[in-house]
Amino acid sequence: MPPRTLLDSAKQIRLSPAENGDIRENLMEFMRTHPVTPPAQRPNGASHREGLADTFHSLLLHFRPVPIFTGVLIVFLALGGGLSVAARSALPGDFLYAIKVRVNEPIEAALHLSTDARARFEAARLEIRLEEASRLAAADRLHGDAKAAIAGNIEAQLQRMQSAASSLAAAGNAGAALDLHSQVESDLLANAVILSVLADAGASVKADVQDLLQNVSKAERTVMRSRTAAEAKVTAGAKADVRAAAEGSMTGATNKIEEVRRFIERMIATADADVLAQARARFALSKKILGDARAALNAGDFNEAFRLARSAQRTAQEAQTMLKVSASIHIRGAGAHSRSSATSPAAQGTAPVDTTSQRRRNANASVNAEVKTDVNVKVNGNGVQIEQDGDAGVQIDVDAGL
Amino acid sequence: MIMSIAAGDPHVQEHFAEAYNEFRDAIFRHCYFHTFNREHAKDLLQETFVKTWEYLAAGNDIDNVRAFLYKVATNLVINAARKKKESSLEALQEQGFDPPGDDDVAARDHIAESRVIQTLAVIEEPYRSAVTLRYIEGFSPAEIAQITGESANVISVRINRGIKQLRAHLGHG
Repeated sequence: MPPRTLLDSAKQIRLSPAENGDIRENLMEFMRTHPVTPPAQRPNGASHREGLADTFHSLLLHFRPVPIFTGVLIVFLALGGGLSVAARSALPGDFLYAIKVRVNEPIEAALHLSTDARARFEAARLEIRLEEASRLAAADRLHGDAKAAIAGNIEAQLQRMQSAASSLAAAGNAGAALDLHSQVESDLLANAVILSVLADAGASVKADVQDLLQNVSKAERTVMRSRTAAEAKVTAGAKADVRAAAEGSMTGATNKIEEVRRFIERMIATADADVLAQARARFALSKKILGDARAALNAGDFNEAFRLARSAQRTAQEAQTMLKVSASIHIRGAGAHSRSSATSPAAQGTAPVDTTSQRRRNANASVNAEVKTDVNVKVNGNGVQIEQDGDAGVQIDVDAGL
Repeated sequence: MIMSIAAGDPHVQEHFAEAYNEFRDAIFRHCYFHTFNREHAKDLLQETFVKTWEYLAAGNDIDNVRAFLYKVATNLVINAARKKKESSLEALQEQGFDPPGDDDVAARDHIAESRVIQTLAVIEEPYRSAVTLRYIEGFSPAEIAQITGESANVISVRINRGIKQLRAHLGHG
């Protein structure tokens, strides 16, 4: 065969329509949930980071390796279960961490007998691994062996969770598999936001946190693909009941959004202003997506309504998880009424780089601008002021040079 | 053809979708000819567009979308190769080329695809990339140089060597 013929033949290799459809749908979903920020609203960070850095550094978690004699004492206490209890809050690098992951968790796993319970447990374990990553970052310990360990643990746990979800789907419980993927996707995204906040807060840990962020973001996309496939299975399985499935999802999303609204209100006084602003932006986005879902339902596009309602519920869950994680690792800012100013991140080069941190911030600022019923954006000489529900709940100086 | 995308453009999503439609198959082939694994190539294709969108979403403009996409895809392919060695020629020859059993996979010409993949696998890198970008995707040596960060002269040499290897393998040397 002449080379030219072979090369011409190579040009005919392309995606099949189904392959193209799947990838295109995933991308559209990703674009919708990660919108572009108009340049004028781009937040930026230097002085903001300095302020947060002070907060974080004053609140660093100090987990130290347990001295030998203390270890002996704890082993003694283990006879009464003390070791197990003491290990619960251990982090990679701690003396008790091996007890936590090799004794406590396998014992707990053995207690979850049904496929459904086991799958939920594996998802919860992944959530624990993600929280450990955030705690390590907050404690300035996300480097070296600890960083490698947590990255490996997250990947391994993700595989266990995916396997458990597959078992659920194989057992005919496609709805539970979808719920599992949705929950994990929310956890991953929320923790990615927390990590990006921590990365911005501490220059010394920034590179290590961003390395881990890449892993978490990749895991998020992996789960997103699984979740999309699970959604397709659920709607395909619903057949004539797609409308009922869509309406059920609408109700679920509406309830979730109301639950998260109340949760955010409770957290206003104590949450870090930056995390709170991101959570509120995510919440606003969830309401917008729910509106789109309602429009699709009214137009008779039940598949789309189902997908959007699920997305709205997931997005609201992300807001809630962000606040929960930040509270659990003791990120406490000056509260919602504090002001934080920022300077622009360095301009990006032409080389493709991971811009997760920026993306989260930008996406959220963009959403704030869009959802005017809940959030007002005022541009004045002092910068951009973001207000929710008419009060000055959150104020962020995005760029004083506007 | 979509040449550039500005983050501030109100139609940025539409432009990005157009870019996907326009370049998806080419980027897919680019990944496929590196990995020789269709499923892996699909993942890399999606990752390429996700990363490109993230770049736009962060407020950055892209002047040359086509070159940018190839650059992202090439970086991803290199990173993936570091983690997992690409399928060796020996493996391809021993195990044969086995496309996945998708429902619509029958629409493709398996035999032709298998022949192309097995033949291209014979050409060593970086000569293979130079040949595929030049003769399958239609880039000029200067454009390939821009994507790979090499000089146009280096690329021309690689193309010539790659073609020689291809001819030798096909019995046209």
